[in-house]
Amino acid sequence: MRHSMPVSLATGLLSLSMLGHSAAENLPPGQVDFGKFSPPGGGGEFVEVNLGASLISLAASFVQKEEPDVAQLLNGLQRVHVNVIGVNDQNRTDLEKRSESLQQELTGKGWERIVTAQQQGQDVGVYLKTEANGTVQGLVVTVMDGKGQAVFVNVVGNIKPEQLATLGERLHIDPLKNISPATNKAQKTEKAEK
Amino acid sequence: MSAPQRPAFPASERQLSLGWIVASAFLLTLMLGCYSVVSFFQLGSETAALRNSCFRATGGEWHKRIALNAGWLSTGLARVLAGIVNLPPEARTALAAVHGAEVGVYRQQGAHPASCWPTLLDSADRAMGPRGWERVVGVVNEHELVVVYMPCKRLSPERVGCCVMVAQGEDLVVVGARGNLKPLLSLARDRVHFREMHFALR
Repeated sequence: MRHSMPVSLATGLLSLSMLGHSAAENLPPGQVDFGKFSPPGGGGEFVEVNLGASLISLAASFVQKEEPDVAQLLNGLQRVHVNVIGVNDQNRTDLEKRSESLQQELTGKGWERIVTAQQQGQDVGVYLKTEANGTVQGLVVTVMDGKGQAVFVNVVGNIKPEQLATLGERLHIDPLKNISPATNKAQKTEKAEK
Repeated sequence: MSAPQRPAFPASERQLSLGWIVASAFLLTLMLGCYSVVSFFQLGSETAALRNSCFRATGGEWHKRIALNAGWLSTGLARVLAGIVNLPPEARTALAAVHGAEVGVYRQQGAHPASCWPTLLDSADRAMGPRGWERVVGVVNEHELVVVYMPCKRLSPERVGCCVMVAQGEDLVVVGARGNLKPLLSLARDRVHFREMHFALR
């Protein structure tokens, strides 16, 4: 009796922590947790946009009449998450490490890297999570601009490969604008000298 | 000869009941009026929570410059009056769309350094998260901070709400709004050339 209370309490706490952990792991297949970013010191730029399905569908209803194809694309999205962080001497190393860690995590979880570009001080990576039928469940874009910004973008939803370029156009994600369906099937690597 | 039947409610009792009903209605109206007047100068709970999160994060003393809250009663009254006054259709549409709006403007002596923006952001997230609101947009630069919160639960165009906080220098502005977006969406579709709009992500 003396020990049953602490044991019960410990068991309950352990169960709750496991439940929380499993809940955190149960993200949709295309969703990636970038972790928490803080505004850089010294007043550097920081932008975070987090749009859920309901807000995206509101936007889709706005454009339904004018551009039904864009509305259809938007209605297939579940989440759009964007982080833009100004890079300075204080956070450059940390951001580079987080970017590398994220890229390794994505590769380990079966995400397909379709674009890797390093040119003029920019390190760009585009990753796709696809279903067996070719539908894109998630998209991650990472941009490390050594002189200015670090950008992390995650788009979650049911995206047809032929819609990727349209998505890049509408959301102004430059690395996506030149994506074609053929690119999704083969890795395209470009490395250019500075 | 049988005795005359007494009425179920004698006239005096009927008059007394009627008096009580009138007095209760008057009292209720008075209370409603007082509540409306008092609440007109107080922010709603979510907007106040967002404001207080900034106060906690920055410390010091903030001075209220203005705080106004137009709730369902005020906006309903505005819609009734709009039906009487000759207003442009866009104004009528805007009034029909807004179910409530509030704004608070505060000032604290001494501009806040950019170093307090991360603390302010965290404080706002901690205040709004348990209330079921999530940060949709957060923009921070050297001079200002702008955050927008919306309810986590599924939105419908008929019931949309948002809270916005802008901190710049010595000034803090918090705004809350809720309403029906459908009339505004129809108006915007008729007025705005969509192809000129961009979803800007830089």
